[in-house]
Amino acid sequence: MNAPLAFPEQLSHALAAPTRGVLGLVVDLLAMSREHGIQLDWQAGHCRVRLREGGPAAWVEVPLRKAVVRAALARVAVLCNQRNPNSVSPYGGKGELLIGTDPTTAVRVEFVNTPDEQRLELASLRNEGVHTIPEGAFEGPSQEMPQSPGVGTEGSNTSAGVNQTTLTTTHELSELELAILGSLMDAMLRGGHGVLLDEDLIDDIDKRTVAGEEYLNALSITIGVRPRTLDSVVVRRLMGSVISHWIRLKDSLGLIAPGDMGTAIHHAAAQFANAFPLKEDGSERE
Amino acid sequence: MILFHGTTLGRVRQILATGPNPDFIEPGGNMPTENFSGCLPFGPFECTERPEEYAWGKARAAAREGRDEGGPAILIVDIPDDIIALAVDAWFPLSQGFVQFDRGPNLEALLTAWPGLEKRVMPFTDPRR
Repeated sequence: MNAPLAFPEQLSHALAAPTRGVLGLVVDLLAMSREHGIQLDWQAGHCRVRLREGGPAAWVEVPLRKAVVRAALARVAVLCNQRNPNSVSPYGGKGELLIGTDPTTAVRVEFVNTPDEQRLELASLRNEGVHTIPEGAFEGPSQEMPQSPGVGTEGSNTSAGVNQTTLTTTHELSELELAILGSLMDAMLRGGHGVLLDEDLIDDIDKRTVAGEEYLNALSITIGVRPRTLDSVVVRRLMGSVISHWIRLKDSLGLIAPGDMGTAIHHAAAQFANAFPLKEDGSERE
Repeated sequence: MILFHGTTLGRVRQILATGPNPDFIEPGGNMPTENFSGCLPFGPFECTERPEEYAWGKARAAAREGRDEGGPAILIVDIPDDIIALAVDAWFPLSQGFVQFDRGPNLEALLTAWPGLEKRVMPFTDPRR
């Protein structure tokens, strides 16, 4: 049996050959924090890490890009909000998360993630009992962040280069999600290149929501799922598929005509149905 | 590949006009943003927030600070796969559901292609306002 690695070696091992991206990095950092907690920050162009207690007090410099550090901190924010919804903002706060699903592995989190400052502190709550920290979210400045939404996913795996996310069927689509769908479909129907700055519709979200519902109803006929029971992940995948097909059509036809929209939707929906076969009740097939 | 970028309508207009600017400094900030990123339409949504949530957050911050940035908006841009590939590495695989263009070759390639890319802007409202 191999002896446990000391902290600096653990760190080096985690960073040497990343195979799970930023998600894997966060998993490794959380694992390292279970015993003594860790601190991480970005100073003078370098990322550094140290144990909070019980280990070497010196900072260990690690060869991480700032972009990786910021993405890792963003992942930490998502985990905090999974534990306690809206407990932190993407830009920082104080929260709590679990390592995996075991409630005895709760970790207290404090972090800042803005262009000006990046730091993270993780402290194990194992010896303190599990409790909920008061919400400490703040809305930071409007700064550029990695944009990969962070809630609603029940699990994912990668197959043949395509990420497949487990479907949930209990989530009711928000008005905004329906509006996004409707707006995209409207944009497709109008066709044309360049930018469609849809300012006339800024205050007309109701119209776009209705349009989204109509399109979703049309899609549901093909894929056999009732509208408003699809997870937002699924809707986004549908949107991506429809848009991609629309672009291909537009390239071949010059400008898609409204009458072609049904073809585009059904083609995309058929692709979707093949990729994500569903039972009649909307759950995944075995 | 389609990417969604959530921000304010005012910021979207700037990005549309000149492309993503790694030297852009947000009002009240001191450091440049240094990168541009967007999420895949279908996620997965495990690393950060949804684009509309970023847009809401930025629009609220602008309103709180007295700046009229036109409210929340999502910039939708179709980026060729060969440019996407430049931004994908061991830390940022596509399976994480977003693509990040950092200062350097991948962002330069994006900026070069920017004027000819298909783009859409979708402003929307904030349910809290």
